[in-house]
Amino acid sequence: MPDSPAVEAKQLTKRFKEATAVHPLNFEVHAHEIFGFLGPNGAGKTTTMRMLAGLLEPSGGDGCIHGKSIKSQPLEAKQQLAYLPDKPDIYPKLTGWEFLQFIASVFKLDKNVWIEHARSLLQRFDLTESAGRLMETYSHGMKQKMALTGALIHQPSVIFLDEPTVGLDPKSSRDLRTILRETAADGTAVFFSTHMLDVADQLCDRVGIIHEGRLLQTGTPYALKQEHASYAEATLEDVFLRMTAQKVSQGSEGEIP
Amino acid sequence: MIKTLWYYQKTTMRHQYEALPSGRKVLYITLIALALFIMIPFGLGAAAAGNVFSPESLRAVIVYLMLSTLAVITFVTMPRTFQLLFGSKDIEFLFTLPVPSRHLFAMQFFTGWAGFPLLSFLLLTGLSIIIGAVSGAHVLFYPAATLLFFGLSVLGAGLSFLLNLFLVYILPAHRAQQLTTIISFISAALFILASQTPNIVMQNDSTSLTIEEAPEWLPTQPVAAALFASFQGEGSGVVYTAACLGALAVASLGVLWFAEKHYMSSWQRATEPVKNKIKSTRPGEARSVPYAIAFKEWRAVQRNPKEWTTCFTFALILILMFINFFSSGSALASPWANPASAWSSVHVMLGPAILLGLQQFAAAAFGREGESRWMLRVLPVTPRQIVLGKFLAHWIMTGMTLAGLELLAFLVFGWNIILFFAGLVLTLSLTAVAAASGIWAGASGGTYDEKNPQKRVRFDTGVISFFLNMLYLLLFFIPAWMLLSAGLSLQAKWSGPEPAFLPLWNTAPWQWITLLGAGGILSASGLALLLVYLHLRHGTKELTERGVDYLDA
Ligand SMILES: Nc1ncnc2c1ncn2[C@@H]1O[C@H](COP(=O)(O)OP(=O)(O)O)[C@@H](O)[C@H]1O
Ligand SMILES: [Mg+2]
Repeated sequence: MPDSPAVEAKQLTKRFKEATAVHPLNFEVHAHEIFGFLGPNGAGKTTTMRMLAGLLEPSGGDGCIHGKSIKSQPLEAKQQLAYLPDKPDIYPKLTGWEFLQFIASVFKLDKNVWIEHARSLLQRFDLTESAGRLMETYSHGMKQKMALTGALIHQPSVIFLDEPTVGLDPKSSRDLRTILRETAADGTAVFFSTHMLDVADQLCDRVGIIHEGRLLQTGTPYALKQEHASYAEATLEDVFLRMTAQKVSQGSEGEIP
Repeated sequence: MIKTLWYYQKTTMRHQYEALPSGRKVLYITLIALALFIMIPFGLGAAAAGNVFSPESLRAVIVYLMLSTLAVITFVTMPRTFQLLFGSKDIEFLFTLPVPSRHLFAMQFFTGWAGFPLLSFLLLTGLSIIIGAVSGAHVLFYPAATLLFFGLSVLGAGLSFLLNLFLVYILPAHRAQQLTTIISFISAALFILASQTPNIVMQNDSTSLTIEEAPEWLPTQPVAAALFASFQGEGSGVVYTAACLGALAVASLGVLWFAEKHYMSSWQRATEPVKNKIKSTRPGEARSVPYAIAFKEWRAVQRNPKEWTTCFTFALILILMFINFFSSGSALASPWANPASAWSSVHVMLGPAILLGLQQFAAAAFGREGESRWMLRVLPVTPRQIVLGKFLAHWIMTGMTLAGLELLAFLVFGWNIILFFAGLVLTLSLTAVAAASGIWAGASGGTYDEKNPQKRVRFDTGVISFFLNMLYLLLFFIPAWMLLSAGLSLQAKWSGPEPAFLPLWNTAPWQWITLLGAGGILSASGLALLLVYLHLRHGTKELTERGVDYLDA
């Protein structure tokens, strides 16, 4: 298992009736790595992540979590992953603690371990008070933090986060970044999507730029900035805007791996 | 402004229609054709029946019929109206726009009318055209009937809107939230009463077919007058019709005025979040997966009274059966006179109520996931565990409630312990079958409409499921008969023969009793086991085959 990458997309494709949302994608994310998936609205970030998390059937290709195919071994793959959607709607009629208990039951976590872990996470997210209330009374950010707590208590080896910083206040956003760094340090592969470039620049070990369903480029933020240094001021934002704009004006094929 | 709204509404409705699978369109059209087809003999029958009555009685019948039609339209439309007024997401959006609430209301009103009221209008008009043609009405009758029934349907829809607005207006905000539940139950009860009015009225004097004249103050008197006069081609028919329509216009303006004044504030009250104190369960040991899912379902149902509205058919059937058992025309002379006949009465009532009424409750379990459905899909749980967990939750909930009812009946009617035990086996088997077939329907035809528990299964799946349960009801007659026979024989042995109730069993030998009793229990539980197994297995298969994104893609 240590040999296989934490996340692997092999020719992963999604076609909807109207159009192709994701053209065949190939990339890998490794353990200990924070991978940022950058792209403008409608680029295909959510679609890709939903396919990798087993929420959407790929039209072609496959995704693997530590070598377990999400198509043919979904249970084994899901056992190792956690997913935080962009709209974190969770059981409105459960309280926070009941939700966490549900997750603990599904992953068969040891009572003493998970409660301890959950307490410290809730503490960090300022949710200790609200955890006894129904989740329908939570705000967007609270739901997101509760869902994240649920995602982290079973210590997944891969975690997908879809635009996790949207809707978080500055403090929660910073807490989140700290937690993601810690999680990655513990060996989890963190895969998150964003269109906020400063977040990506600070946080990511590696980024991939996706536009109109095609992965334009992957690399460390530093390498990307270097490569495009001659054209612009070489912030990640410039690189991003340049690449996505280019794509529109050229309208050409060409997948840059 | 109203034009824009109207365009928006029309487009939405057209898209909804276009999105229907073609099989369902065919089904709807077939049902409409069937209804039209049934209407012809029905109309002929009604025309023939009309001749039997004296003109005065006929008039009274029509007054009552109109009144109950109005009541039925009003109360059947009420839950949907509530949804339209306060439940839909787009209203929330439209309220943020500078649109006068009168226009919003008008649009919602049209949408509300275009459901059941429109259907009743078409049916009534069709019927009266047939009746008129058969019994040679004056030409004046046709436009008058059409206009009057149109007015009736508009008034019914208007009343349902008005009642909703009014109830939300007078209730405290935290109660207004539970209004849909209450309204659904009230409208069920009133619906039954309204549909029984002709029955009750007729029963008074079924030999002579004369009916006391209806009170003059009834609002449907002028409608009947208009119908009669125009039927005979009298000029006063026109006057009456015009008067009725005028009154209707005034009433509609009143409704619109009230709506304009109070729609916005009522909406705010009805959608205000409720602060409720909830006791959270203490975190503890991990549970098994099906049990964890069952627990989650239990919480969702227990904490949301709206979910209970799915048991509505159950209550409806039970109440209807109850009325029929108590009304003098019942086949059994005294259904509650002795323990044995009470046992059969109770179970004859419970059987259809459970099988036809409780299955919707379980069927709502998949739609209940709603916006949270990503959770179960991203977790490493198998379809089998989901199906099993949801089945367990609904079986335990319905089974426990009905076991409680059995216990109550056992105490009230003084059954012996054998009869009680037999009843328990029967109801637990029936609830298991109802839960399993509901789970199957939800798994294979669920829609993720978490807001409206009534709409959580596709129409076609609902119909199939209903007929399947009819079939099961017939099958369960065999064990029920065996159990009853055994129980009756025992009763006869212990406390003397039962008067005039299945005398055959008074002298049954012990072997028979044992055989019948054991056979009843075995066949009831065996049948239940088989049906539960088949439904759950097929439900699991459907859930697996539908894949993860059947509704998202
Ligand atoms: N269920 C769907 N049906 C049809 N098209 C879809 C569906 N979901 C997403 N799309 C399309 O796929 C493209 C990518 O969407 P998405 O992955 O949500 O983008 P984003 O990068 O903003 O997360 C968009 O053009 C969107 O319109
Ligand atoms: Mg997205």
